Amino acid sequence: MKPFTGMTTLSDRLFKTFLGIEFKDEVIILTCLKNSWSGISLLSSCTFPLRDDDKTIAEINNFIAPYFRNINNVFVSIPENWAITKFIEVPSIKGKGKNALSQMMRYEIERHIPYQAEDIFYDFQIVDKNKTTNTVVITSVHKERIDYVKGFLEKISLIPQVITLSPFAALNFIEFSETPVGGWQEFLGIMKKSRIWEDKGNICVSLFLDKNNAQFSVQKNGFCTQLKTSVLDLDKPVDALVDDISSELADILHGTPMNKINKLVLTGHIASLSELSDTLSSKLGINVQTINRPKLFEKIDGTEAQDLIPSSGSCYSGLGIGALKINLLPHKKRLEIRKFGPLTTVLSISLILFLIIGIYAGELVNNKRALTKIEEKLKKNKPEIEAIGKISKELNILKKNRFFLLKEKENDIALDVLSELTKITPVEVWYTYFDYKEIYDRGKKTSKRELTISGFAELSSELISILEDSPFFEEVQFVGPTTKKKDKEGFKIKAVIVKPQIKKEIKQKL
Amino acid sequence: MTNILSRISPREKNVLLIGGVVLFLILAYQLITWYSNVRITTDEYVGTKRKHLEIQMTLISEKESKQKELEIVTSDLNELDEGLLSGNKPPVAAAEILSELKKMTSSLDININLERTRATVDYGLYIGIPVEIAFTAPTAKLKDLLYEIKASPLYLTISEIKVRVRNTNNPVDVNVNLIVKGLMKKPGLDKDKKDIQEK
Repeated sequence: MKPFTGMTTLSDRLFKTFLGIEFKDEVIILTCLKNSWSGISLLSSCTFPLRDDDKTIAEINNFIAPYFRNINNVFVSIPENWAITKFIEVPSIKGKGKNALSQMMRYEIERHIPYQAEDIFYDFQIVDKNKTTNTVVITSVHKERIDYVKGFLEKISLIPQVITLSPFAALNFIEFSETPVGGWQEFLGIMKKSRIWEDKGNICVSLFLDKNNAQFSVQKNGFCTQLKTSVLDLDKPVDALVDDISSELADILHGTPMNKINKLVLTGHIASLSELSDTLSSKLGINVQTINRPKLFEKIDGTEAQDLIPSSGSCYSGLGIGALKINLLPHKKRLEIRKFGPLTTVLSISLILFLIIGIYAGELVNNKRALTKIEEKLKKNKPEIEAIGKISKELNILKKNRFFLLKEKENDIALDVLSELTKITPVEVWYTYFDYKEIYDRGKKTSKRELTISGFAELSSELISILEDSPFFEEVQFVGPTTKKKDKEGFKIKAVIVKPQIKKEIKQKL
Repeated sequence: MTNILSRISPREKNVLLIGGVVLFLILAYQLITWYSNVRITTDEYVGTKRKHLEIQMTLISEKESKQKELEIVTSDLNELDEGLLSGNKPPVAAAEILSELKKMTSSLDININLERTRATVDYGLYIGIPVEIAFTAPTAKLKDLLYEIKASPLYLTISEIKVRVRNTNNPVDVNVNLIVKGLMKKPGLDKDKKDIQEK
């Protein structure tokens, strides 16, 4: 285990195992806690007699053996009666420097304890602030007690990192008894604040019943401003017990009426906790909140769990969870924890935002780069494309020329028409006039060919069908009256000439 | 800041928090909308440019084949151009046709009794030069003349032919009016072609 500096960091706490030890007058309670990703959980606990004989030491060693290698910190709480605790009012130290309060306390301590300052260990904490005064809790313990604790722990090879008072440890535990602590929420710095002591300016009272001890504490603005431990007979009938509690409350409140108490938080090792809660509520007319089963001890028996509150609370104190940060071991700084959580969250969120912005901005930048590359290539290709454009244009002109010339040759069909006419004309028909004409339409840029023939036939109408059947002629018609001359008919026929291929295509379409 | 926060009530804190969240959501929505618009525009622009580049690359890849095709077409045209009339002006071209026709008719012992040039036909790239001749000859000679015209290395085509039997009682000779058309290049086209070939 490494030496404790008085300040825990996130790396000291997350995924680590802690040992909380409560020293009582006759027994010692060991509680092993683990801070995993889901939060702080209870690993194991055991109670031993407070003896430093070999047998007890061996038993304690056996208990901690499975966790020993993993134990990161050891936090200890000692009974209130081993120490002297005072709540004192001191002038405000605002604007007087960081060490003003420490120096002030060094002088104040000797006024409040019957020992020399060199013989004690002490710690203090401001628990209430006004404009002109501060309320400070100051706790001192004789060095012999601390040496005893250290000596006892040395026998089981443990070095304590924090020694606090059991009532303070219990209060820290009660504060976070209904709120999940540690884990990912702490890592991200979004650990919920405890609402158990309610809002600002209200007075709450905590009553922790431990065997026959009743530990009263007045909470103001989330801090303990009064602490009192009384002996109560918990075996008494509930009504009588409530009367005792009422008188103790009146004593600790110094004349403050009961109706000023916003809430009484009741915790403790007592079987009739619910009944006591109801009676207190009805008799005193105050709101009572009972903590039967703290979240950490959900899996173990309720009354047994109450015994583990101070030892578990010492771990909370050591980890800086809870309002009271008293550490009776010499240390340099206050226990600080919260600063790292929000920092982690801020860093994580910043990183996430940075990554998101990076991803989206990266896409835009990539697009921009791609666009630049494309534009460069387009620019580079431009002269070549212009040259290709010219080639294409020239090619089109040349193709057009070639097509025209080839077509002109193909379209010369006058001889073919004559040949066809000779072939299809019956022997008894003879022509006196033949007119083949090509008419060029300038607008449509097309040529049309016409044929006009006249002559004599035995039956001129037959000639129409003969010509119509030819692939060269269509729209065959008489263009003049047929005249009778001897046994022949005089005729004049006109036809449109087409290329055989075109006529075939038209026929197929029809 | 801590002092300001400590002075305000939890209710006010909640209102501030909700206000902050709403403001953040509005800003985030605006930012996302702006970004998606920019993204769509950029994507479309890049897509268009990419397509343009693809077309360019296709054209460049076709350049060689186009050049080869240009060479082939030019070579074809050079061959085809041999059939065109060599004259630079229509009257000269018409004279060339008449000269060619006279050669043919004289070889077939046909006497031309009329020859004249008809109005030219503008085909855009080329000019058609029609020439009319008239003669009297047996049908067999007419047939031979037509064959010779068709077989001529020049692009001589018959655009009109009128045949009338001279004597219906003795249908041996026929009166023929024949319009033969040749082709010449439009003046200036040669220059263009040379330019193209040079390129």
